[in-house]
Amino acid sequence: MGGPKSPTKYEDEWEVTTMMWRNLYGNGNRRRPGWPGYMLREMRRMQEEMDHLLGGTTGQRTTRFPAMNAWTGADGVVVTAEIPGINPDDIEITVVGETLTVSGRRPDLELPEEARYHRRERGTGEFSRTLELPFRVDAESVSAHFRNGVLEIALPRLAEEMPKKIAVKSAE
Amino acid sequence: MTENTMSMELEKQDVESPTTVERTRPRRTFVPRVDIYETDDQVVLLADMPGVTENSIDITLEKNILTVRGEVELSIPDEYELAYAEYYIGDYERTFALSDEVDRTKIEASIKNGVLRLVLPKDDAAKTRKIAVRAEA
Repeated sequence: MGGPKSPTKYEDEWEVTTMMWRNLYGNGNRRRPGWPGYMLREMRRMQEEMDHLLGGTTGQRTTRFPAMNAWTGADGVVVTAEIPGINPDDIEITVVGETLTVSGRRPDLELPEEARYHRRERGTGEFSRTLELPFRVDAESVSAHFRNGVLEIALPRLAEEMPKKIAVKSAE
Repeated sequence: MTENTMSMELEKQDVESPTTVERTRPRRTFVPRVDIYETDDQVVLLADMPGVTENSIDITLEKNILTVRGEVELSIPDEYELAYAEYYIGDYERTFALSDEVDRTKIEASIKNGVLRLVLPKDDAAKTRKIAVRAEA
């Protein structure tokens, strides 16, 4: 085995991080690094891929509803989505591995027969969103709250995938 | 409606502030999307304002201008940081011009699951002003 490689050799920041990650957690960890800074890029890339796949056949921009934000912390991720006008019972959340799916239906208004619209800007109908997370999720411990039209899903990282702290012993 | 305008409308729109109004909250402000429909005796306005509660909403009526403002507070713990964003979090504001038909003393507002519902009853004078036209035999 040769000497340690200089990180400057790797021009791509991403490669350096992957290398650092491997050095820290070993090659056996096939998952991508889950560092918040890189998560943004990874999630966006995966979302773009998904949009490309879905929109590829029609050539149209896919409409994403609901829009989602993801917040990362030490032990997992919190995903939020704005879904006004839906009953919490009508939201379905599924988690498989590292894939989160949120689906539901925003009901149409039930109007009296003589009613007429002046404006109709709010969306209705079925929706489904899938988000790929950069790590596997402990599906048993996922919790979700719906308050004032905002959905908040807490997704703890699977314990076996948690980064481990490595104690440094002195050579004395 | 074309596909293009539909996808445009899915994104939140910033409030275009008149130059005379200065904001005092360091927060973006968006125009809530609304449905407005009219029946024989009332006008109903529904506005999507996710994150707004009955305590953080402010509805004012000045002459015939109805203004709806809603403030949104973040509820994410401090130790979390935003890693991926498809939407901005901000306040909501929109103004509406009421027609003379609306009975200003009987406006009712409620909010549920982030949707404001304003019921604007028409006054009796407006109701009786309508003249039914019958077809003559």
